[in-house]
Amino acid sequence: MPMTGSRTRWTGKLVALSAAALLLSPAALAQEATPTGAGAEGEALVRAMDPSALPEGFEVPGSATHITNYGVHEWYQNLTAGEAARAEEYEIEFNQVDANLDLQASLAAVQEVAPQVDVINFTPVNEEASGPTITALAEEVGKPIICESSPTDGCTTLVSIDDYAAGFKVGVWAGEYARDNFGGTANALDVGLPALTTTVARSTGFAEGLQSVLPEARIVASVDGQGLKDTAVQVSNDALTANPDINIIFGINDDSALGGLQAFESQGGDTSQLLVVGFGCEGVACKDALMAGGPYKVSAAMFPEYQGRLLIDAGVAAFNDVELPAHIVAPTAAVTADNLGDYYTQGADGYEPNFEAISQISVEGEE
Amino acid sequence: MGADSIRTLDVGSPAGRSTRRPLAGLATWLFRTQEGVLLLVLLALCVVLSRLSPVFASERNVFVLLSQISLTMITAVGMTLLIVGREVDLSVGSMQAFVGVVAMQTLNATSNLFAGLAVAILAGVVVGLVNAGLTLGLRINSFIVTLAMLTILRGLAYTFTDAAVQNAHNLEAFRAIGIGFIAHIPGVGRIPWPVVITAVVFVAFALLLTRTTIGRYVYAVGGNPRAAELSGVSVWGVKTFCFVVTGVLAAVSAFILIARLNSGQNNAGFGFELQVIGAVLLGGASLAGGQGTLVGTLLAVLLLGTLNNGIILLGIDSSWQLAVNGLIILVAVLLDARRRRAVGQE
Repeated sequence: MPMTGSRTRWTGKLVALSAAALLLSPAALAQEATPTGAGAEGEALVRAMDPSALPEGFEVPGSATHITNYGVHEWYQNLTAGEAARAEEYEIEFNQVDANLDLQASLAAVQEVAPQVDVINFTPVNEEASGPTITALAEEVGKPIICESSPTDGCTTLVSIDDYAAGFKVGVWAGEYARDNFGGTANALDVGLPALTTTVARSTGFAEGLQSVLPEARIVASVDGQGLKDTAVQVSNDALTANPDINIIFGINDDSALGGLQAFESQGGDTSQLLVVGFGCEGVACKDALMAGGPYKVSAAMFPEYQGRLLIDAGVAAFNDVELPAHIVAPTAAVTADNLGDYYTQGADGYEPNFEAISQISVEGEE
Repeated sequence: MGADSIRTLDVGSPAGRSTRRPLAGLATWLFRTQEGVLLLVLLALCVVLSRLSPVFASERNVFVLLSQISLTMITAVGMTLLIVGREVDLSVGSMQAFVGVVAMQTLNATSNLFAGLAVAILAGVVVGLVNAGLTLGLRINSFIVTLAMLTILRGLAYTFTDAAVQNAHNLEAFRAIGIGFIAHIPGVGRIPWPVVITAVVFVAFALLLTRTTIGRYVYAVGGNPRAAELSGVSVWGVKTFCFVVTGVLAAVSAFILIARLNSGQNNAGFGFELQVIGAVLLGGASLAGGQGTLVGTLLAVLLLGTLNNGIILLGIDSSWQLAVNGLIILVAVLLDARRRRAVGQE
């Protein structure tokens, strides 16, 4: 398998579902991971890593490769861009291999790559099925295997967000907005992806966050948008017809939220009486929508570029035998038009992440 | 082969029985043809949903439903011609993504609606010609050729853009195509543009298929290509026409899709080809060629759309849509087989 993304394509709803599945990482499945002792110190070290000022005696790995599961998605493009940029700062040779949702290809790739590189970053196609291979490989090669997205047996550590906590944050924001602008009325449509634990955690977090502010708030309909905009538009259209009192739309990713908004607009709804809440905000579409001043007012940003940095930093730490916790929580924040500029700077080439500000986001209490 | 003899290949045709006893003919059509059974099932479903959901029969929901099915129906029109002509095109799903991103990029670059539409249609023509050329020129099964094309187009869509192509042109007319209304008809309501476009496409191709020489040739080529060839029909030409029509109509639906989504999504249309082909087969067309009507396809698309609409209106987990769609197709096939046995056509 080539070291750059192998891009054999396939299709079908199952692929789309799997894609969404593996993108929308299940931090909710993460092990209980409150770091203590050496693990906590290791995590603090990772969060404070500076390629130009490494701790004394630290060696820089020569190479790192990320075996992604669905490299064509914007999340992975931004994540691996972040990894590549960070690796360049360390002068680490970085490559990506994409399994394109093929479990067999993913496991073959990690086995082929492992002897050739110093650090392996791995996003499983299926975490349970990948566990035995990763466990055996970790014992065999003795190299750091940094997992992304889903907890997998054998990984040195997992770097991912806490989906529930991120959903809760935007739920609270939405509750406060509805209290201040809709007279406390909150009838929400959840454009979800019920097949996945991670996305269910996002929806659950949102609902509980919303109801923590407005106990009478209701999720009046939950539909399966499959994480795809065209499907989200279709199912949202029907749900909005059945429930014309909906005034909040929550989507488990950017496409789901924007699809719900498109459906609302296509029915001629009054967007001044609508709040759209997204999740991810990895792409330009979300950021533009936030800045447009329309009903899309908040999103749980996952900062893929920053998470890419954390992956490389964790790999460098693990390469130097630093003990790491089972889960390093990547930061999330409820971003709005007002604070987007704190985390991203809009330039000619799009939005550049402000890593300093992102690194200051507290992950306390998240796991 | 004359038109009348060709129509007898269509098991959905009333075949003149109704001229003697209109009511008996209607009953025969309703209970013994694929279209009739579909119509009955659709009516029954509408009655049930109207009783269970207060909004089902509302003007708003009816037009939402019709808008929802418009993309499938437009593409299914082309697919019906192609399947009747004994070929198939699996690439229509990826066309939604490929044509979408290319057309949106063109619109952004030119801020010209017609330029974007022209590029979309041109892409449809090219894809149709390539599919036809490989299938007919190299004598490769169209299933294989268009499966490869499906993969190629999806890959190209991803190659052209790392993410969705957002609307940077803000043309009012463009948005209207996706979510606008053409007119308010008293007593009917506001008619969405996609519904009007679908109606025009349906009528035009229904007339073409049933009232023109090329339409008869499509049935002839699909029913028995060798006999059609010996009769002087250009099998190559007719099938190429069907491939191109399918490509163009898939491109038209892709254009409406990007207008509705306000973006060209490189992940659009996953599984769309199965939805379209499933509807065409449910409508009575046969992969063996020579059979099928656009009325049957329309009824099948309406049935599947109504079912999906009903699932959400009734608050049933929308994940059931996939399973129920498959189940409905299976039931339709079983009913069709039973009907064929009853009339001794198996």
